[in-house]
Amino acid sequence: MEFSQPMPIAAAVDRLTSKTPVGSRLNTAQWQELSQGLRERAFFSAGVEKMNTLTTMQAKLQEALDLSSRDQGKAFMDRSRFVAEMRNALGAQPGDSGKLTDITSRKRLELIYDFQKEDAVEYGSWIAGQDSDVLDAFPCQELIRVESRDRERDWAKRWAAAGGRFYGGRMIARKDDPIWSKISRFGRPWPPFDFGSGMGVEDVSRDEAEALGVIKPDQQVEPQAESFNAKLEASLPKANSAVLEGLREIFGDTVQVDSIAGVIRWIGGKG
Amino acid sequence: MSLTFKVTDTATAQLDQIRAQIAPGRRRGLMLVLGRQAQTIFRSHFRSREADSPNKKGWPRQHFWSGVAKVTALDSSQTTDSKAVVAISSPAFAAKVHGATILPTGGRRMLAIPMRAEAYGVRPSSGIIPGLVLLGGKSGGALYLGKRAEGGFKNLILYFRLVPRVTVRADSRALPSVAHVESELMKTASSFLERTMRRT
Repeated sequence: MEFSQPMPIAAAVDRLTSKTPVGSRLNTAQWQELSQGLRERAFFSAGVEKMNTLTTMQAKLQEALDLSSRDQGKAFMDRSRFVAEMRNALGAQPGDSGKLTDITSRKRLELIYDFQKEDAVEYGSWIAGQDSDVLDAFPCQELIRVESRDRERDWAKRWAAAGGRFYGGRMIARKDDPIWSKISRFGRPWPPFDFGSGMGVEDVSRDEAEALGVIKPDQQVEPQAESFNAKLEASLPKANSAVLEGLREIFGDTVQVDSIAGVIRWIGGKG
Repeated sequence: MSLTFKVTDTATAQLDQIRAQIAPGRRRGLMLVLGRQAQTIFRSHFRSREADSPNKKGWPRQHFWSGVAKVTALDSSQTTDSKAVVAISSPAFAAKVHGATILPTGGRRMLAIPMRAEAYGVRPSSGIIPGLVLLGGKSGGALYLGKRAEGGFKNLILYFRLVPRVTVRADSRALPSVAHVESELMKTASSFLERTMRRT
């Protein structure tokens, strides 16, 4: 076992850089009404319309993930540096409102940093976990608390409401179980499952999963990456022309509207 | 009466199949599985450090160790037939492992060390704490960033102490023990081989 130096997680960097900045006046609730196919490909922050703000934000988050500061002789991008530099870029007033709706607040910017970074790394972990040998060895996972919170949501209730089963009080399911997307506010089968949730997942080995009865002996779990992407394509909305044009107004050149077929397609970025 | 025994070698073919599945050039699957288990071991270790390392001053937690856990993951793009790479994308963690001397960068001459809970996790340049002024430094004394409280110029609130460098000592418990990691990985490798044998 050799520990050399910190290194980026390639899939996490790719996740962030593949997204296209999309400025819009939509708030969080409105963004969530949009199809997942559009949300997954966009780099956005609720209520942020200025593209310059979004591209700056994305670049700094990329620096945090790819550790490129090292090559530039700068201090590494961490959360406090992200907040300070974004506040300066946004021309923040002295002091702190403490409001999530204020894009310059410490609370908002820290949430953005934590959320985007965790989403990118956990996506990388999810993708790596879709390998057939890895799925065979670790076919299930457990929902666990990975970070304390002053006020914790009732995840057991959320798990049960989504149809989840308990094994000795533990929230465990097969990795291809739809519950992982169901418990997620964002419809993704990887953490974070909600803003600032403090919850994560941990692999459960085949031996343990079979002993607990979560999976039958030698039962296989299928990789989900392809079906997840197919689901994203299917979720690109088919709607009447007024709705489609409204979406084009929001997303601009990143989407292509086919009014005849009644579909909207994502064409921006690498997604 | 005579008895005839016929010995049939049924093991060689099975062993050959097993050997073929983990022959050089075909071990990446095993390495991915070991790397994935290593990811779990390391994340679990960092989370246990989060649990047993509360902020010594009772300030709001910045969740350093759980943050390290969150940026620890198997990098399958770098995993090969002969090695698995678990990336820990945290330069601050590297300082804990090896020890380090932190120096200011970007044209700054000093580092700002928080002295109050509200300054923890905040950079003076962010403007989150407005009105900070440079204090002290006379006759080579310590330098601070702070401001005057209400009640007269003698009432100062010190938010940061300014220092030219910070030395981080190596933390012997930064990483899980090699013995523990090896023991767990051996169990994982054994399970992998048992499944391979069972299915051939």
